[in-house]
Amino acid sequence: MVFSSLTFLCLFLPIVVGLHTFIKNGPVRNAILLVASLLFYAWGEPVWIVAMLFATAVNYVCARIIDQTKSPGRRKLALVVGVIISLSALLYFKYAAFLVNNLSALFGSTFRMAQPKLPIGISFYTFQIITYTVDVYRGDAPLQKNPLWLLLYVSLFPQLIAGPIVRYSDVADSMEERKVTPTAIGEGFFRFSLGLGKKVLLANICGEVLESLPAAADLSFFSGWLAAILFQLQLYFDFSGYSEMAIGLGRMVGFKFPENFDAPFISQSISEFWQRWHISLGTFFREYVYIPLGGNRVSRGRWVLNMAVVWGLTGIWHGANWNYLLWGLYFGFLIVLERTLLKDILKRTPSFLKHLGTVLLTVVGMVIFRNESFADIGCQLRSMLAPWRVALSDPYAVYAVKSNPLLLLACVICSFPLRKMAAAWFARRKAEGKRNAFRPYGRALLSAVILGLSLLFLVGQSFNPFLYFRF
Amino acid sequence: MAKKHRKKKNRILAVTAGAVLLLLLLIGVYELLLTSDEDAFSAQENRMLAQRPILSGKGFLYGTFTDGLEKYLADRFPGRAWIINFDRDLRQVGSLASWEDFAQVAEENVPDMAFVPETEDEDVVVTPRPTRTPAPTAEPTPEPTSTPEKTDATAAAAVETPKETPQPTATPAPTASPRPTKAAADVSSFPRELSSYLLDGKSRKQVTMKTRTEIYRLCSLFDAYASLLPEDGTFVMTIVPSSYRANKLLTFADPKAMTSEFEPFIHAVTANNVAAESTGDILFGPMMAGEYVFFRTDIHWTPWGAYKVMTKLMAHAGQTLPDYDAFPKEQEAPFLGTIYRNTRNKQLEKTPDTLDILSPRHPVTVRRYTGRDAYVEVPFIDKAADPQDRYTVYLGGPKAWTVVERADGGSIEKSCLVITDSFGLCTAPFLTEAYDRVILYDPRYYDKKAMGTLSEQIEAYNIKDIYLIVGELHAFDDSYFKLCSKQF
Repeated sequence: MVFSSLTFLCLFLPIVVGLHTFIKNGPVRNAILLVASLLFYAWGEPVWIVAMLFATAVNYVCARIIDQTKSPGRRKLALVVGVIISLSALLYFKYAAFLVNNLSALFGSTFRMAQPKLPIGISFYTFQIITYTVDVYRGDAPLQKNPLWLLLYVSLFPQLIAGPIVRYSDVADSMEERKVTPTAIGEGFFRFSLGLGKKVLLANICGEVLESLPAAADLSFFSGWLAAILFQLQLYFDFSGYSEMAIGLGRMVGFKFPENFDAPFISQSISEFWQRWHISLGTFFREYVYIPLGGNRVSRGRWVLNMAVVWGLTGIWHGANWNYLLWGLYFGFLIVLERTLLKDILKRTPSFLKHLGTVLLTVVGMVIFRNESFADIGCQLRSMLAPWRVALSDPYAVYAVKSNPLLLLACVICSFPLRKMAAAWFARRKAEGKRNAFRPYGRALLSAVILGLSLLFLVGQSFNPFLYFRF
Repeated sequence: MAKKHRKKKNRILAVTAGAVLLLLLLIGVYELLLTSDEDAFSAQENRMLAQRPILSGKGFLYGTFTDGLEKYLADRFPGRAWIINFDRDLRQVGSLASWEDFAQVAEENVPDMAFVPETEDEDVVVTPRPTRTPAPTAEPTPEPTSTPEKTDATAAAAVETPKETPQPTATPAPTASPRPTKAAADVSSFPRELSSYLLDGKSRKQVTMKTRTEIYRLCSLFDAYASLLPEDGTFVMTIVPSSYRANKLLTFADPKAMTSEFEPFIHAVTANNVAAESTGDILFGPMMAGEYVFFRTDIHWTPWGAYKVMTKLMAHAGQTLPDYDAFPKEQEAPFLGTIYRNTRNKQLEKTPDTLDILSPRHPVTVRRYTGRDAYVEVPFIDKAADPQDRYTVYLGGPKAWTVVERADGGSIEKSCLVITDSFGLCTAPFLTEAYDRVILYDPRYYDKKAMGTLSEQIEAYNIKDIYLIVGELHAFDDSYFKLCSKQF
């Protein structure tokens, strides 16, 4: 099930939030959430729930062994077994076909492995369950003795499918006891509405406009840039919208999930961009890969290698294809450059230039992310960076821009940290002794309007007009 | 006091959340339990709305139940028709796109939609039935590989033609045609790649292009249709340009600004009882002379334009039409069609169209079939048609199989089949003059399992003549004629 579906909005959400709010008993609440989460996951794809149950069971046992054994060797063995079994499922479902087919091609074999169907959310829940076992091993998180509550942590529906990746230590207390206050429900509802609006009103429409542009080989200079920017915006609003919905839903049922996006387009460097974009993934790789590898407290050469490993993994985590690996390494390379050769130059560079450069480099990066074949990446980059070799413009791009000026304007405006800016403005007013009486009404109205509009768009999307082709 | 005030403010958002969630739940429960599960038809989309899915273990396991529920909730959402219109209007807010922008994009699209047959797709080539074969033809077996009297050009073309090129198979029949046979086709006079062109005064812009091989495939399909007709039966085809392209010709003030090589070629290489007319040739001259043959704000031809073309097409079948003014007529103005709806161009809004709503001169009954024997009776003029798309007043828009039958006991006892998209809708009043039964068939909505094959239908309805009247967007779309072949 996805948040931006009518089944979720009109049935699942009100029933689950209603039941969870009105039942005060902690274990019953957990049971409600567990059943709801399993149903949420099984909706449309019940078979792969087995993979999630298996990963949870393995890590539950491993964590118990880690907790109960004092022998360092056994503790380490249990940790390694838990991590390897969790990762092997991810490896099989996500990467096996890619690896086998590339090796097969390398050795001139015609054998090809079919891509197994990917269980939804496996990349997210695998990392979550790994954080649990590792944190128990490190002593950063308490052991969860009830396997059902551990399953609840793994399968918790708000963040199950698309994150944010929540560490067990972040929600351990809430698993046992949590308060659901009217304030939390209101805040959660507000965040959920904003996220839904980002997804349905901005990301989906950006996607529609993007679809109307020519294929990579036929792009003009203008449409090349437009396609890259639209894809960047679509990805941002889609993913950050989903994360915001997850955070809002979490608040409504008493959990406080970490922020996953923080207005990445205002960044002035690639490093800053990645501190603002998919924060939970960056945190995971920093805590569980980069620092164990030695981080930056190693020789220069080893540090570069560590960066290559971390960013290669970051790239390939997004999908089993060479373009994702290249995408990750591209950002890794830029960060290494920023911290070494360009360090002093960047200190002297005016802010707006740094800002512009960061945005342009991330847009170019998205070209690598979007196109799965190197030929298409080459074509789009050629159209963007070598305008003398392609047409300057084309009717598709002109029509797309002229037809959707408000969408583009809305996307630009919503890329700024509006919520923070508004909060700061209200705080200033308060400090000046002015009343913000309209603020709660404004937020309530904004939530209702955005949710209503999103609902209209979701219903409207079921319309299949074939405006011209049905005639 | 301040704490109390803050608490009250905090509750506003929570109360809103509760109210909205409750409302959402009410909508969901209403849809699930209280909406009627009867068949519902969306006139806007020309499709049946989703039915309530039945919960079963298998359905849940394979996701069909969950998909079905989502579609059902969307399709049966309270006030959906209003929501859809609102959604469409909202998306147009702030649009700066002009008609010219849209026309340019549409034009760029046409070559992409060229009919590209897949050689492995055997069902594209339809072998004509040996029975009821029409008149004998001296040709057209173009490009025989060893004809001694071939010109050099023809021979060169023959060498270029792939061996697997499907040749039109005009099976000789023992009986003679009631009409004069066609002259032998001189295919060498046609280029290897057939095109339609738009001349902008300075340069010649290729609008559509197909190879001869592709056109041969279409011809074999047309021949197959024709072979099912009685000896005096005729298959007549035309491709109707979209109005935005036709209107663009006004800029050049040259009736020959658009030329097409398709129809003459089709006419030349098909069987004796297959005729092809170029709508462009018929209408562009009158259009330049100021006649109102294409809408400005809608993609279609006007009923007057359709009348002029039908006069020519029906002449091939030996039929004549009374004057246009003889048909009962109502006018609807202002009429803003689909081009306006898509672009919201202010200039178009200032120059709305007028829609002539013609009715047949004789009383008719109209049946819309959803199965071989399952039908509903509908009015010929659907005054309650989609207000956003008034062109669908004719028979409620395109449907899979619509039978218009004269209710005055007409003694003509002839049936015709119109293979069409929406362009054929307004031709029905004219055809009822010559046929007591007019059947409009749109392959896009046709269900072969429920209705039977088209060849069975042609036999069952005793069709005498077939008219193929298709807009250019479908004529050059790969899928439209593939559907025709598959449903044959």
